[in-house]
Amino acid sequence: MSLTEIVQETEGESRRSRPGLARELWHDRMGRAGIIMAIVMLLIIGAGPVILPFNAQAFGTSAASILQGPSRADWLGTTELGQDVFREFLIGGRISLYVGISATIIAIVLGAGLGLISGYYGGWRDTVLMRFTDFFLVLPTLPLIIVLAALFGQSILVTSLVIGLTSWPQTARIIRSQVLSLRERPLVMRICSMGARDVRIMGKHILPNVAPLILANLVLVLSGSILAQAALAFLGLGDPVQVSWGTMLHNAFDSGAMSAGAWWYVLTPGAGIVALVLAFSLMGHALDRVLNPLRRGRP
Amino acid sequence: MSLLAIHELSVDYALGGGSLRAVDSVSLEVERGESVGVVGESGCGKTTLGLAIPLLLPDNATIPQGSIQLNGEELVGLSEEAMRRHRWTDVAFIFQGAMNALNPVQRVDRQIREAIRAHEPTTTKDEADDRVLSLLDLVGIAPSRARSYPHEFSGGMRQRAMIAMSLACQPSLLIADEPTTALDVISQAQILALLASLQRRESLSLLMISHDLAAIKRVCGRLLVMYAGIVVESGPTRLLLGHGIRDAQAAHPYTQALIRSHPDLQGERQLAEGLTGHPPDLSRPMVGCRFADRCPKAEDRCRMIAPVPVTLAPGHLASCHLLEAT
Repeated sequence: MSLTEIVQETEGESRRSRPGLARELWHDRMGRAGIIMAIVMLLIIGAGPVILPFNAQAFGTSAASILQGPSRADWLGTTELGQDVFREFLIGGRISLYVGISATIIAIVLGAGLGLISGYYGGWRDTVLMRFTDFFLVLPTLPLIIVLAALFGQSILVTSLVIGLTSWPQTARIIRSQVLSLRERPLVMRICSMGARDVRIMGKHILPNVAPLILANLVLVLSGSILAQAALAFLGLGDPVQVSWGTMLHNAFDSGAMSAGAWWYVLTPGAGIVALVLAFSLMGHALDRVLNPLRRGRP
Repeated sequence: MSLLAIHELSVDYALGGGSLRAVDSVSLEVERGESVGVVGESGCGKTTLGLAIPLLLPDNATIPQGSIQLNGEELVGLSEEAMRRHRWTDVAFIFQGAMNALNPVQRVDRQIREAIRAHEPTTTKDEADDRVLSLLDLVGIAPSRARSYPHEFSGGMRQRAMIAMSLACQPSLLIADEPTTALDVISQAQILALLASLQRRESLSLLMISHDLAAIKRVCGRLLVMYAGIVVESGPTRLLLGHGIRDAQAAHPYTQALIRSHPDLQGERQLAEGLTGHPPDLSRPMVGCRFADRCPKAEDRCRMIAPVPVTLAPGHLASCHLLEAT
């Protein structure tokens, strides 16, 4: 048999490609629930305020219109100022999501970048960066966020920065450990033997290989950031002008809505936060299950 | 002038306190269009020798002496940046377990294209694509499979894709470290036939490192036998290995033992003899012939004085006291 014949014969036996990530996620029960919830929440947050705009100036004019229960005009009752809770809920999601996303971008860029450098170079860089990471890892995050937010003001930008700058250490640790193992594979030696510089090896070959891990982390950091923002706003450290779900809870608490039995004012933003955080947490855990080689018997 | 001329090259590994000489004063030449094989047991310095040529040794390795000349240019002592220009364009490397050296998340054609375009930035994407397809064709991979991911290939195909990639920048020297290990026999046969035909057709210079005498015999014209960091015998493959055990003219007891440890398919039925013992500990100073402890013919002088190479025939050298003219 000639070489080409042998070659053609063996050509057919190659393995089928594995299904895409989105598909595997969809087949995971938690993953599917997360995806559906996230889509619903994004639709509510994105399209809601366009359909039912919130007018902060639409104060109630009489005592009869404040902290009123659900009615035909105000589907989920009114605030202590007589505003429509449902409309405020719709607009409030934007700030929660906005802060969550910007904080996540900061955290992921920092975490993935430091993890990549630390794992790839090793040596003193690794030691220095990882001690730095450990320092942030052991700091209790919420008190730190509260102190920083109180120090630097209450704008959305500050909130995003503060949350972003405190949520990266786990990502850095996880990415580093994966890069440590990738670095020792023949792949890196080969690219090096081809004359590639470190930047190319890291950016073009190692980063794409840890991308799924980054994605899984991103989703988990996102839900954490949304929760952190809500916590800050609830404690009164959010932007008082830009209403978020956390701010709503803060206002409800401040105005005595809880003791007044105005459940609609408390439960509505609370449900929003829970749904959004749960959606991303479910996706994150499902991604972890799909991608983590320890939890799946994949090579 | 030889394409590759290694002279008295030594490589040391630093090991927590002490050091170990993995390659000891090895000299070796590869002419243009020639294929040279390096055989020996595990841990005898074959891979270290191969890695030393493109200066890809691990961080704890140093080259205390010797020279490596490629096309007349000295490589030892070259800076990382200067060596980078030679990599892949002058000397390409197929690694041990190279089939796992493809990036799992990139398509194969893109990886080969990257090699071409990184070294020849003026090449357009279309030109590079054409070259990728002709390279894959050269190794027997159909153009329709070019856009596959590595996991969609079989082990042999991945190895062939790696060979295609190694030829991407028309290197003058190709170093193949165990190119057939971890493959099934059919794929091994394919790869060896491919390397042999490429080497002849493209007049490539090949340095093939293997523990498999049969593989070396199929591809290489000349053979170096390494033991414990030194070259114990070198000569034309056909002369040293012959067609079978009986007409093999290897002179060094180590080479003879290696040959006898393989069953001979053509000759009489005979039990393959294994080699007993282990190669010596390289971190200890060595006196006398390094093979003496395992050599069935060892004499007293073998344990005292290190033998020097003896020329037995044109191009056939061996280092053994028993071969010295008495």
